[in-house]
Amino acid sequence: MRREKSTPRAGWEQKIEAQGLAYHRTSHPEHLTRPYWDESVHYTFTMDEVLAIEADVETLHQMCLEAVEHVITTGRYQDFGVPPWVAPSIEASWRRRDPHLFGRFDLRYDGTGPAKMLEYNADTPTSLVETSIIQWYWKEDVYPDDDQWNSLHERLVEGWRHVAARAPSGPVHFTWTNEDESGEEVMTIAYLQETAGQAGLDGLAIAVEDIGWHYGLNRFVDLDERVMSTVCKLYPWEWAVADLFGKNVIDALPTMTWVEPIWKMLLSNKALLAVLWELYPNHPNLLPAYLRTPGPLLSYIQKPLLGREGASMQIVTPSGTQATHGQYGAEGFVYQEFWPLPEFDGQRPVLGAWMVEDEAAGLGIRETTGLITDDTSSFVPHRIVTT
Amino acid sequence: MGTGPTEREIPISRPVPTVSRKPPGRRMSSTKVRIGMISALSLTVAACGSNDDVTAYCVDQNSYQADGSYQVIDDDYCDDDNYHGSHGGYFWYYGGSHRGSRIYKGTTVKPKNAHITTTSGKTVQRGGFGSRSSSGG
Repeated sequence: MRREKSTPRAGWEQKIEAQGLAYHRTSHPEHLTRPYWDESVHYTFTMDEVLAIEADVETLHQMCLEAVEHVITTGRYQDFGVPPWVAPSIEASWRRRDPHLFGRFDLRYDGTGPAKMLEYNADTPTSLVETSIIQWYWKEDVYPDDDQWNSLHERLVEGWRHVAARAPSGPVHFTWTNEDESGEEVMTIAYLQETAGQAGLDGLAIAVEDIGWHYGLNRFVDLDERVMSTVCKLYPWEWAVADLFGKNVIDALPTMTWVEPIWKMLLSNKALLAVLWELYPNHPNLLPAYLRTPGPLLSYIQKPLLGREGASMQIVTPSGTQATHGQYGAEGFVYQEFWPLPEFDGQRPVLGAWMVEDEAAGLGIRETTGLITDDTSSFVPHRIVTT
Repeated sequence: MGTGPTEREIPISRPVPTVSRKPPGRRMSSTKVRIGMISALSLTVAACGSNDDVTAYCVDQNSYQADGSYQVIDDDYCDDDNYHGSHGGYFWYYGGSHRGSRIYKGTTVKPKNAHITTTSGKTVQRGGFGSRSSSGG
């Protein structure tokens, strides 16, 4: 794993905007001089490194599925802050094996030791467009003879075929919140709709705010009052069930297919980290993690069970503390051993390893100068060098 | 083992990472990434920027046409303070683009708990999801 400099393509901004990265300016705080998409640098990996991370990620995913089974079997919903009235639906969804499409592991990796799982964004992962499309075209333009760990596009199309085989007939509704003004969420959901379209599925876009509940049918309907049977959402489950329509979601669940399914509430929750450490203590791809208390940890990062974009975190070490702002944490915190992200030329990369269904499908890298990867991070491409 | 703390000498649990069980010499990237409609959408979104004000239009639900447009009507029909009749069929429509007196590609949002009676006479409640900011992770 190396960090290399490279010359940005002429007209790169126009290129990436035409390829779907509409939000490269808006999703980034305005005072930053570094662009969100930064192709003046990239990372290189050997094939052996990529194959090792790929195997680790698939192992982690299997461990996560076993953790879901454990939580459901033992009824540990309280540890996850899941409301009791939601739990039966999670269990039913898991027992039905409701199909799942994708997720993104965040990993700490420095090229020398095993990848360490930081968290699993298994419900509403973003940086999908930049990973699947933008860096792929960058690699094709700049290093056409090299490879890249990135079959995300093909795997998503394939994954949609499997969802289609299980889902009710009719169109898939793609929904996001129009509260997001950066354009990131609308582009991410539009890209998901595009991949579903390439798998032969009819898609309809609707903002989550526009979704209606039909009292006669007891079903969700779109703006044309068409019943919504299959919904792909970029809207977290914990918000959906906490909303005014939360009870309706639960009522209608047996008649619907949601992508991602509701059982993913147990993976996108950081209580998972502590459960994994209980089930697989000292596993080389895990960091020690505990619920509610730091336990024996001297250096740790306190993470809210349900937080986003690095908000509401606190790093505590014998030499001092550091915190990020945020209003998450009402459901509680998990304490994970603190391992600083490795440093490459003053930047700290976090590896986003993508899963599609149950297989690893690609890599996207975000960098920050700080120890917590937040909304100031920049996305940098990567390639696999053939040596 | 990187720069992190030293691993304790305790036997590790299953399952341990294995070597790749996939065929050697395979290509790791997509052979083709076809993009269609998101390209046009992306250019539109990119051109919009982040600081545009969103205009709210009062529209008549009954004016909805197959092309996705609504007829814009007087704001009084939608305004809680000034209009004292039934709100059935009239609602605020945010953003979108004008063509004559019709509005395209906007969005309905809020108010929470609003009841909109539709042409079919059944009750559909909207606005029961939402009202938060960034949802991605």
